[in-house]
Amino acid sequence: MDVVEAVKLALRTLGANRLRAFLTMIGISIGIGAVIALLAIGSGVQQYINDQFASSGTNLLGIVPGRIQRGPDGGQNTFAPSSFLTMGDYRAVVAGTPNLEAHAADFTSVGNFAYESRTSQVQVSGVTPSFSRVRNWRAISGRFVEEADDNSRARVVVLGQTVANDLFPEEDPLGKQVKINGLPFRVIGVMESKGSSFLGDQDAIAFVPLSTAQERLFQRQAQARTGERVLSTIYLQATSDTVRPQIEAVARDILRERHRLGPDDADDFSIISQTELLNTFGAVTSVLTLFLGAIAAISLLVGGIGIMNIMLVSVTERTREIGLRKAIGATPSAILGQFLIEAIALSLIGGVLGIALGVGIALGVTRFVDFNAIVQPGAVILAVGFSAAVGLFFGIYPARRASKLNPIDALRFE
Amino acid sequence: MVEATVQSNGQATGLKNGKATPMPVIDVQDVTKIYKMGDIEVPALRGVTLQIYPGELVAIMGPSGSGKSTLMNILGCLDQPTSGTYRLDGVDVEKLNDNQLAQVRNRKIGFVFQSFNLLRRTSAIDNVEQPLIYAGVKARERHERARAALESVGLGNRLKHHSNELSGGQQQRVAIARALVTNPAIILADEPTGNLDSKSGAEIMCIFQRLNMEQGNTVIFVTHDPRIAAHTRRIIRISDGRIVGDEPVDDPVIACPDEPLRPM
Repeated sequence: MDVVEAVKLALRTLGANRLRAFLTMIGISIGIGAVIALLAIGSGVQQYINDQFASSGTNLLGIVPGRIQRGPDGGQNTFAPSSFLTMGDYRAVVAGTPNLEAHAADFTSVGNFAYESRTSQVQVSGVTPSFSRVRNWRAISGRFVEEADDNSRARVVVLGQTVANDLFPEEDPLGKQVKINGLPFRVIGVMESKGSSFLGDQDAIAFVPLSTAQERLFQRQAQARTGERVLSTIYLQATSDTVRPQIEAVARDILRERHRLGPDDADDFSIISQTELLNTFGAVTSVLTLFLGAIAAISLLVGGIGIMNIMLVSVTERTREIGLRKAIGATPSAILGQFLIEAIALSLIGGVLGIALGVGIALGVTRFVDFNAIVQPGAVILAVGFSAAVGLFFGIYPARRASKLNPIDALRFE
Repeated sequence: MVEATVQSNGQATGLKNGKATPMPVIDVQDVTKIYKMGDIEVPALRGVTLQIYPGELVAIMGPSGSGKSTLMNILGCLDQPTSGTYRLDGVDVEKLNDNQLAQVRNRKIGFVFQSFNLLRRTSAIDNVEQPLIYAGVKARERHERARAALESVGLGNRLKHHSNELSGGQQQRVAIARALVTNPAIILADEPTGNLDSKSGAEIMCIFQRLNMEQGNTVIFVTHDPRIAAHTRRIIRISDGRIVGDEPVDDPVIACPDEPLRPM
């Protein structure tokens, strides 16, 4: 009996019991659908994170004071900064490091904003003018902090979208005067929106010149014990991704020397590369995706057991048919093949329905969140293969049982 | 293996109604069958020897428990003897494995059962095609042969009817067509009229007689019904696992009412 005949026969048999076949398929469909949807959502989240990083500037290294260390559980523990990054550190690193495309620095704290009767507590970053370019983040109206502002410690502020909306719900903020910690500042620009991300609302921020922050707004906080002005972050942008490790090594050497660290001392600063962060988040999302996928796979297992169950029922119900088929010349392997193909057809059709279901869920999710679920062809192929395998695995036992039936007993079965 | 033996012989003996045919289609020598029920051995056949020649129309008769069903299972290659030999159309059946037995059943035996055993939700012609599928016959030829077989049992106008749309007698005729379609060496009919009213039963017996007389098919009935046996030309009686009688029927009942049978 050739395969084509066997497949035709299987489809006809399933067609004769449509409701039962459909209900059995649903088990597989839900399993496959869940796997596909979750993998698609996982890939979507991954892509979203990648995009978020790409939008915050490329080939970027950030240096922050204090040490970020891998804890014993593999997670990252941040040590409270016991040291400072100073303007001197910044100048030395920039002077001593080759292959720099650009660099920037900020000092960040929190300020109390007031405009007319409205007040708001906002994160304030004092930044060098290059910050805008390095972080790939521009003013949408007005302008960003410029060299002259920094030189003159000008009391000017560029508002993030959220801050602008909070303080100026009905007015154009440009040129208006706001008070930050009681000091009057002129609004010279509003930043383009970065949206919210897993890092929180990125637009709840305001920018002032670095010197203004250090010397006017946050004098006390921005001063090291030596009296030097300190920084929250030094940004180094590499000319290409390949020179990034070299830049990291050089900057580390310079800072260790300036901080007088012995060969056995740990760094008292941390260099964070975008790639590293990306990998960390990537690892988290992969684990999460895998975990969800595994849970979905369990439902596939349940669906498989459903198939086995229905095939066993079918073998019992069709005992006489099996007996007859044996009497008219079906070999045991022909009977085995018949039931196996039925089981595989059942789960494959279920799998195809499941793919449709999964893609549907993925598209549906995409409509409601601000990332795109990505259905990967690999996941679809995997799902088809997996559903066939489920049919094969759970079909073998009932099919073997059918093939081993004694034709005499089978023919007499009532 | 089986293939070679099948082709070396066939039904080419040509003698249909003769009693001195050299090559019996069924040759059973001293066959026993013992069932084991736990520790107890239950003998169902206690040494049966019997020959049936091509073209015969035979009834194997016996009450229930006589061993006739066991004998039928062995003749039908559904079961194998505990001892003794059985040659079917020249093939030593007791040496065959499951796959070879399936092939012998497919090529050499046509079964007709009391309860028809048609596939549900399947058309008459698809039912008749089933054995040819297992024989590996291509779709077009299969279809032609199945149609011819159905026409020969008078169901040429019911090809597409499903079994539940046919009367009992029609269903049994489909079953006969299914048995015929492989052109087997023997047709084994187990109480073929047992589930039918007497009119349909007579029609069925008429078909069997016509197949035997006109086309030379070897037909073996297994029955406890003397009325069926009366339609044959030879009655083999079995009791307690032994053959207790084997005699010709001098004046068989002719089931076909109108047209006279034309012996070949």
